[in-house]
Amino acid sequence: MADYIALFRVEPSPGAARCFAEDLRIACRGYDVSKVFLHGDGVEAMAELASDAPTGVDWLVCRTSLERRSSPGHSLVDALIPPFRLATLAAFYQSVLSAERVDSAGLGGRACFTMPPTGQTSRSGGRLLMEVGFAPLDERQQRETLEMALGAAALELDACVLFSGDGLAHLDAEGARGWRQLTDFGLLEIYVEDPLGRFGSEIVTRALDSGRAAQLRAGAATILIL
Amino acid sequence: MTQRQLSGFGGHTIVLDADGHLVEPSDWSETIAEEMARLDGVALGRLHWWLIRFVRDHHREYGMPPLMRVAVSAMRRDADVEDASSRTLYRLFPDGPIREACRYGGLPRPESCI
Repeated sequence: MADYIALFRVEPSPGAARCFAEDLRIACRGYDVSKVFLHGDGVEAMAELASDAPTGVDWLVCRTSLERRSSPGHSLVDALIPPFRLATLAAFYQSVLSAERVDSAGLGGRACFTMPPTGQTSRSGGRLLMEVGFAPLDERQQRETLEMALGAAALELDACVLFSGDGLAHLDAEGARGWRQLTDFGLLEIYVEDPLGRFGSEIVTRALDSGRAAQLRAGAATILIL
Repeated sequence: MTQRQLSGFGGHTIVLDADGHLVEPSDWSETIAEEMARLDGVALGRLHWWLIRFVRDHHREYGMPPLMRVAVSAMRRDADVEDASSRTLYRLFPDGPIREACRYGGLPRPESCI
């Protein structure tokens, strides 16, 4: 099990991966086991991260995200760049549950969460909040963000999703279709931070003003910025 | 990639991809599903068909196949089965209930690793 795990979903941009690698060197100090999980567009930063990867870190790549970006008919193992290895969302969430510190570098920003110093030894008792604050560029980005939520739902984690700012675009029209299964089947609660009360969607969501959204964040055991 | 062909459907040839999924989803019919299963040595019974139809309906509604837990809870509610559980579904399709229901249901191979 990991003591430290970081989620990396940021699309490649000049310096982003190097910045992350530099921060990681500091973040994983003092932890016996450190893992990084590349998911979605983060997979495309594999080469840049590999060239500057801190040692002593278990580098994991989401199998499905890599498969989507690989040539059809080619082995996924061939697409891997050392020191990365294939992993699944389920394995990522198992690590999140036991980690003392969880960082996320997502399309909507970054977050860092450490275990409260109260003798708590597991995150499994606290709520996981996934925050979506970016508008999807394309269908694949939308789908992979939904899959982060479905992964938590598949493992029956105590989790919820908060859409804020540009993230509300995920729930527009056709995009809402996939998210609707979460509420139709009671898999996860969906919140929208909607200070002006203008948001309308076919999905049953809970609208929060900024104060209540802040309370939701404050009450979470872990926040993943997707 | 190795494709397979099924023939004898009113002169129409059905093409399966390397994973055994229909290359052209609009070719799907219950007769073709029965034939695909027969070639795999599987006899599709009432519960197999309940799952295949549930997965097809879910895909039409949400654009993707259901999570296993969703299928199990729907089976408890709708399928008139005493021991509705993931084990029951794996008894139907040991190689992966949702994946196999997609295949026999004429849907693409599920993309996700969930």
